[in-house]
Amino acid sequence: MKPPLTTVRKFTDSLAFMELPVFSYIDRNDFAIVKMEELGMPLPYQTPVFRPDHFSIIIIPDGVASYRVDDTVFKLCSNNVLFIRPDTFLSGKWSSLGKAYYISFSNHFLLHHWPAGIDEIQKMGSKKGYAAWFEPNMIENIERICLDMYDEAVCKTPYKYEVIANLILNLLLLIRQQQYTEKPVKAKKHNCYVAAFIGQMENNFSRIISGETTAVLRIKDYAEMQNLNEGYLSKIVSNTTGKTVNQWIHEKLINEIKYLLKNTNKPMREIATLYGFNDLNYFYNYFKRHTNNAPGYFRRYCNAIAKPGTDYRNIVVNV
Amino acid sequence: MPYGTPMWFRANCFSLTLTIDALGCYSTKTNTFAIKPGTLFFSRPNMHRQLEWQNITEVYHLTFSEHFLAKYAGVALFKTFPFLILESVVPRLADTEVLTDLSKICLQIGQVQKENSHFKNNIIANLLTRLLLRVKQHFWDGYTGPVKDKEPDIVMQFIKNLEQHYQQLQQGKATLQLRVKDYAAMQGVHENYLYTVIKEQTGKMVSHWIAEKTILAAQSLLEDPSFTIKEISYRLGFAYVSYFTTFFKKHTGFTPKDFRNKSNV
Repeated sequence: MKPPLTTVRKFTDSLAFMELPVFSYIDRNDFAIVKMEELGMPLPYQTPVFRPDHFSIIIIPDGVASYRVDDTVFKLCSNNVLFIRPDTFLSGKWSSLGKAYYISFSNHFLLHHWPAGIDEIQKMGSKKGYAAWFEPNMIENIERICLDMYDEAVCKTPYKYEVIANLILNLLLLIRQQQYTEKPVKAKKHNCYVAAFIGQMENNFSRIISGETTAVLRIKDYAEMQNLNEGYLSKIVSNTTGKTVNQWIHEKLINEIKYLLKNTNKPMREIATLYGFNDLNYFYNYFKRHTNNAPGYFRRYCNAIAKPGTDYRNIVVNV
Repeated sequence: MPYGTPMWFRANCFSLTLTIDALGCYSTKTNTFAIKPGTLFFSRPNMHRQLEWQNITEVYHLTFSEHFLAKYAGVALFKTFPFLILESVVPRLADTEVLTDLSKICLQIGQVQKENSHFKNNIIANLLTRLLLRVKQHFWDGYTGPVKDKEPDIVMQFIKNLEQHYQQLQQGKATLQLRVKDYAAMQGVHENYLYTVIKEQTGKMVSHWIAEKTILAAQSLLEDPSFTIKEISYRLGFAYVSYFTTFFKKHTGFTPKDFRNKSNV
């Protein structure tokens, strides 16, 4: 029942991994739009768990699916749109599919073709996934944007990526318009450093999961990455978020370990080495200190209460 | 109908006119164009122009300021759409396919304008950017500047230099503010000559052009909370913060701090 965890991070690689067709117009890794009904997935279809390095927008004019972003399950049906940030555990299950679009794009894509778009992404807030429900006439509008984007993607016009970036931003604006009725507060000066720190931290854990590195970075490394003083970074992080840098890192690490314990059958020793614990005892102690439970006990407990056929014990969001 | 605008009027913002079905005539100080179905023309702020319409069935007219696009869509107008500043009409008539495409975007803008949402301006700016991108895509692929004629266009060249310089200032690549003398030297003409030509053709003094551009640059930097006012004033080439504050207040009526607080609310 548990979908397998993969180390694949790029969109085209994930298509190839699922043995779905990679169309010839998807010629780059930092942007793609796919009409999902053309993929020919056998329904119901359960994707493996990915840890993508790109943003995803899923638009469903007609279909039923449930997507799992970290520990949150989004139950999606027709007229829903889901926005997902990179560096999350992502898996989806399609039970019916009439028409749907999957758009993936990376930070780098926006930065390269429409630098101003980065701010727009920042304004989307810090949640890992956003789902929104649209009126039928709005979804028509959104679908037109998708079709425009698809047309743009398959042909070779000049400035096509600029136009695509523009269309993506339009989608994001429409999602935000649906999300907030009030005008959001403008970002403070320090927030960009804090956001960058959180982004880098998440990226670090993604690289660990995909096996590229085993080093859990420390505050010194993060400060160096942004050319800031260690003390300054820790001060602004704890002032703006209420949590210290170390708390952020430990919490994230514990959450990742918990995820693996809960959702995979990886042996304990493997998980420990993955995160650079050379001594298994130290790993047990570390986990117990932060959660008050031994890792083995936690895994058994989770398996025991998981009823077969349910989406385990996750937070379920009905859009 | 027929309707003509008064002799040589000037507007304070950019405008873009898409003619689906109308006849008329559009003249600038240097050129006159016949307006036929499929003509797309635009004007920049403070450009002398004159319009005459014989009949109008379907025409879309959009006006916007540089600041609007910069604030809501993050567009650096000169960098992304140089043709808006350096040209006044598209080189050929648009074919029907392009026309329907463009008019669809115009209609969408009109629709969004009637709605009441907090993101209205962002969405309009986004659509406008798309419209301009489409125009760029269809008419000006690989455009860098107007076709050189024998007599170099001093006004155009001046505006181009000005834009480039302010882009560099904003990015921190230049620290000294150029003066009238420097702009004249860039084109190899005398200061007084540049001054006369600019004043005659645009109706504004060179120093006005420079001051206006400085204010625009200051405003866009002020909207970014990651710069302090001190940093901004140094970046724009002011030696003293107090001079910058006075200058800003004189031209906008607000102190930089007030402006920043106001735009953050």
